Amino acid sequence: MKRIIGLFCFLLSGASVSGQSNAISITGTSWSASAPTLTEAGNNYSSNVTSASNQTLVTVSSTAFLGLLLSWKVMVTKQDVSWNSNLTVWIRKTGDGTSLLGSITPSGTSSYIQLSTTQQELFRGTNVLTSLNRNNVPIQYEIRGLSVTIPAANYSANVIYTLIDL
Amino acid sequence: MRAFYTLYFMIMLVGSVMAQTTASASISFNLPSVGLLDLEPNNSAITLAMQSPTEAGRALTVPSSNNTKWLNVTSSVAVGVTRKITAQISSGTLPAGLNLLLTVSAYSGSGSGTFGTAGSNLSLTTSAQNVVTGIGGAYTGNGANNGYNLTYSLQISNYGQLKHDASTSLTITYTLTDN
Repeated sequence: MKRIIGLFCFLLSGASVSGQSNAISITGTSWSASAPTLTEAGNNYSSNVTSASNQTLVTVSSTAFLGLLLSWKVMVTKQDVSWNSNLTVWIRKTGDGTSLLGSITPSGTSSYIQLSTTQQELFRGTNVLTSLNRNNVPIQYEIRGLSVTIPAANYSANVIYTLIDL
Repeated sequence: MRAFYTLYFMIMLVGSVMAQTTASASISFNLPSVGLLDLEPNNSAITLAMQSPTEAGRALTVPSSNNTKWLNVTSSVAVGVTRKITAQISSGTLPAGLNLLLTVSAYSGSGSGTFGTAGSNLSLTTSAQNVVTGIGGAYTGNGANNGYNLTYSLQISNYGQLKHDASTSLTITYTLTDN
């Protein structure tokens, strides 16, 4: 009986031989955007620049050798390459992707959060059973703070997705 | 069984240290150089007419100045770049004996940015003259009462050259360019 309980706990833990229960991968790894065209002298930009609602798709794969409940969370942070601090980047999930049996929180479209150099939780979930992944969670970006008073230039930054097993 | 639990907890410990992976997406964003300039509330003609004296021996009456026009600007520039506005008579000939003076006010309005320095009492000619210099990234706000107020006035430079009924139409062209 002890052996059965021990094996069950082992399966629940989702621990793997390598020590990594889940892995993250994304598609849509590049978003290029430009400020809208101004046509009237005297005006400043009045709108934000928003990506497609599924600009990036995040998949969390369970790689555990054995596992029943594999909980994880996805953290995001911004790494500036060449950026102006008056431009802010916001991110949100716009759907749940697909999964058999698993859960994801928050569900549906989440509120935007402003990316910074500090890790913030974007969403979390649980995969039930190894190989039942959370697939293609759609991610949307938005750039705010546009102004002609910001130097004209090409700006670039990286969004780092970090998966943490729970 | 003890060995099994030991192995289990060792795996869990390793897992807690190594259990994260990362993926990266890049964002590229272009803020273009922008230069827009227009006249507000419109570019309709204004009239400055000298008035004849009603009493012998008196001088002509110089008309009141006109300050109904405004320059609106939107300017987005790269680091280290500034812009200027020039003005010139681009068509028509000023009647002999008269100067057309232009004063450009310092910026006022609902905009923001680096508005530069405006000039005053410039005698307009067919050559481009700087009327505002040192404009950086800026927007003046749209419409009248935003931007640089333009004041036109006439000045008699030589009475002897004045001719009766020598009216003419002039076009003043304003240009926003990089310094």
